[in-house]
Amino acid sequence: MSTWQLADQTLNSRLLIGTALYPALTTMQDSIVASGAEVVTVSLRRQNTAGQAFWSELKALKRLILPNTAGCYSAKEAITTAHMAREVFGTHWIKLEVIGDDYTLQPDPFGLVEAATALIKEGFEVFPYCTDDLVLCQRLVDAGCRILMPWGAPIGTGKGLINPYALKTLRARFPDLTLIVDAGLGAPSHAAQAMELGFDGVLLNTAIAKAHHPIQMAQGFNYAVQAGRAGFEAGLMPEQDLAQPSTPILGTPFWLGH
Amino acid sequence: MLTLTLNGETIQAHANTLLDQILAEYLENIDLPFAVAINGVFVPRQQYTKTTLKQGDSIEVLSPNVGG
Repeated sequence: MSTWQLADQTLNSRLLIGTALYPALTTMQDSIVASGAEVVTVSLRRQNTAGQAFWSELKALKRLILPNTAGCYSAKEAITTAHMAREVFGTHWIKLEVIGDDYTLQPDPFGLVEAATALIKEGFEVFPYCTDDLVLCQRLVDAGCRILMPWGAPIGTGKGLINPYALKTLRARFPDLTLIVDAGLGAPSHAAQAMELGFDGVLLNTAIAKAHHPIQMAQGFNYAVQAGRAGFEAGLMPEQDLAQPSTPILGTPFWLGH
Repeated sequence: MLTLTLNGETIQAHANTLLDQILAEYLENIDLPFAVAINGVFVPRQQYTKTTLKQGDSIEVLSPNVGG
């Protein structure tokens, strides 16, 4: 697979994964390795002993850290969390989450644009977790976002790409932007579909962590992302309604003639 | 005496206590990087020795954790 550029980093893998919900710390570590992911997402929470073990094990894997602002419901909360993350992790990368609805965990588009605008002015590389709304995405780009992370489906649902048309439209309207499908994927085929649409990467957590065998599933997503990307780069054949034989008609034996 | 909140727990401190002193007292056994916010506002590390706590301040000390 060829390398690609994510913000200021050159990467091999187009799969980014979360570090939450694993049945055990060792499963998380082995899943990260099996996934091939070079970028992992983390959060900031009140200190506890579990956090201590987590952090020392994660550091040992030497992956790029993408801190999130999970749990924030306003631009102000997200901006404060981003400032704290920059100091703790020593990175200007931030996965910006501003949630607008408890039930669907749908991003708040207004809070998102407000926070992104402020953080970009302060030198952050903002990875906004957003809906697939075209105009919201345009506003985020206007604010200076070089990366967009529209949802495939609500977080943790595993429904896959519920609106491929909207995602296709984003790819068409922002051909040069880094687009990553974030959240809602449940199966490797969902990841392959996103990559076939021309997305630059996918980010997921639950589908791997909650699989019966997370390490094997991580490997499955690794393959799926590579397969989907290869399909996109190779160029998919145009879909058509009428069947067309692939074996030549010319030279068909007479006893098969109609 | 001041009544403060540290990560959701009520604590007492003398008047004119600095943030630096509170952190040294309550976080001595935890070996994790951390960042601090008071009343929802980030306090950069360089300000710890210059930040005097006030009655009712709510201090959050956050560290790396799992996340999606």
